[in-house]
Amino acid sequence: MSLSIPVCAACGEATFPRLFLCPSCAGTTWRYEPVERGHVEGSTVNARDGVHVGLVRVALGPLVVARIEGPAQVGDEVALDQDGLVPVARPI
Amino acid sequence: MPEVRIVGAAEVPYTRHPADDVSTESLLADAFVRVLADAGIERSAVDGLGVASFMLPPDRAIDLAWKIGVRARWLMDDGNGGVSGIQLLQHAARAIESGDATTIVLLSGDHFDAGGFRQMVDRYNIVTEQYLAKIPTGGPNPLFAMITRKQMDERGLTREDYGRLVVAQRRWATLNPGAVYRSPLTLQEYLDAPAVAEPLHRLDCVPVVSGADALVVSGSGDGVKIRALRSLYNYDGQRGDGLRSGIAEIADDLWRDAGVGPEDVDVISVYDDYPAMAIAQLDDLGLVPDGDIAGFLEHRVEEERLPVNTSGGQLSAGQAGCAGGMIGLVEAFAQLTGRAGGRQVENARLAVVTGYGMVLYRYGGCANAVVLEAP
Ligand SMILES: [Zn+2]
Repeated sequence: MSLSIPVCAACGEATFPRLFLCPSCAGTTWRYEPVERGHVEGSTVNARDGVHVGLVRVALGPLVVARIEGPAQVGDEVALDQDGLVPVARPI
Repeated sequence: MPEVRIVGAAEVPYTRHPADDVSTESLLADAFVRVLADAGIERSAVDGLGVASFMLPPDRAIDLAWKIGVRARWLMDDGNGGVSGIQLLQHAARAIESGDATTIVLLSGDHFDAGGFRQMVDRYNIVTEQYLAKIPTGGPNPLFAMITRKQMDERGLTREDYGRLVVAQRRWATLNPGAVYRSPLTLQEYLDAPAVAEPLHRLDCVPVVSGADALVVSGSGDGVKIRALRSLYNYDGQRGDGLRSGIAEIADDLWRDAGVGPEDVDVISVYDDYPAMAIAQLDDLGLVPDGDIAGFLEHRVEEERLPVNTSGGQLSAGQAGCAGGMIGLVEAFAQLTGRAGGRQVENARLAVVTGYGMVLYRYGGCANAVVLEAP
C-alpha cells in the first residue's frame, strides 16, 4: 500500500501529478518513489454524494488531492494508497 | 499607431432554462448581431473575430466566421475560461495596433445541457480526467471549499464575511434586468442555504446558465480606452496553496502602466467563481491595504457600497461558461459609457477588471487584469 510519486532524476524534486519537464531544473527523466504516509492539510465532504476529499502533504513535498476513506481533520496522519492514478488516504 | 478603443458591448440574456433550439453557436451568433447593433457598425466593417467557448468544439472560430458571414484578416480561438475575455482583448488590441485588423468582434459564450456540463467538468483537462474526476470530486467545489477554509483560517474570516460580498453583489443584481437571480438576499438566507461542500454552501457557487457576451474593439471611433493590461499564466506551477492568485504578481505593473492606483478606480469587476477567489483578487489588486479583509467587506463593500461586480457578478448573474471571462468587461463598458441603468455608478471614469481561472490541478493557473478608462 503506497502512492507512487514522480521524482526528478536530475535534481530530486518531487511533483504530483507527473509533469514532463521538471519545474526546477527542466530535467525530463523521472523515477517513482512509493510514499506510505502523509498529513491532511485540508478536507471537505461533497454533500451530494458524501465523498470525502482531502489535501494530503506527502513527505517528499507535494500536496495531493485525495479521496479520503472516512472523516479526517487537518493535521491527521493518513495511510496512502492509489486507485489507478487516484490518491487514496485512510485515517490511521 | 491606431488608438485602440472598445466601441461596443452586448450580452445575450443569461438563462437557466433556454429554449430547445438554443445552442452554443446560436448564442454566439446572437451576441454578434447584438454587438454590431450596439456599436452601430455593419458586418462588412468587421475584419477580425475572436471566440471563447468550452462547448463550441468541434467547431472553432473559423466555422462561426463562416456561419455569421465574417471575412476575417485576424482570427483567434480561446477556451481559457475565466481569463479568456481579457486574453482575447489583449491580442485584439495588439492586432489593431500592428495593423493586422481594424475592427475586431470578440464573442464568448456557452450553452450546457445537463450531460454537457457534467462532461465539461469531468474532462476539464487531462489532469482532472485522470486524477480528480475519479475521486470523484464532482467538479471544482471541494477544491475551492478547502481553499476557502484555509483563507478563513489565515485571514480570520467567517461565513458571514463571505456572505457580505454575496449579499452586496445580489443588491447590484436586483438593479440588473439581465441577472438570473434578482430577488434581494439577506445574510441569513445566505447562511441558511444548503451545504455543498463545507464551508461552501449553495450561494457560494455560481449558477450554471446559458448565455453569451460580446465586444467590438476598433482602431477608430470613440470608446472605452485600455489604460493597462497584464497577464500571467502558470504563475506558480501549482506549488502554492492557491490563496494568492497571479493577480498579486501583476498588480504593480498594472497600476504603474495605468498611472493610477487601486484607490482611484470607480468600478471593480473581479472574477467571482467563488467568493474566496473574488476576495483574494481584491486583496491581490491592493484594495485591502491594511490586510483586514473582514473590515474591508463590512465597511467598504457593505456600508459604503464599493462598486464590486455591479452586474451582480457570476454569483448572481450566472456563469455562462467562457462568458464568465467577459461579463466583467461588458459591465465595465456599460458603467464607463453611462449605460448601466439603475445600477449606474456616478461619474464612473476608471474601471479595473480581472480574469482568473483554468484549474490545472488544485486551483486556477491563469490571471489577467485590465484598467479601462471612460471615453
Ligand atoms: Zn529537476
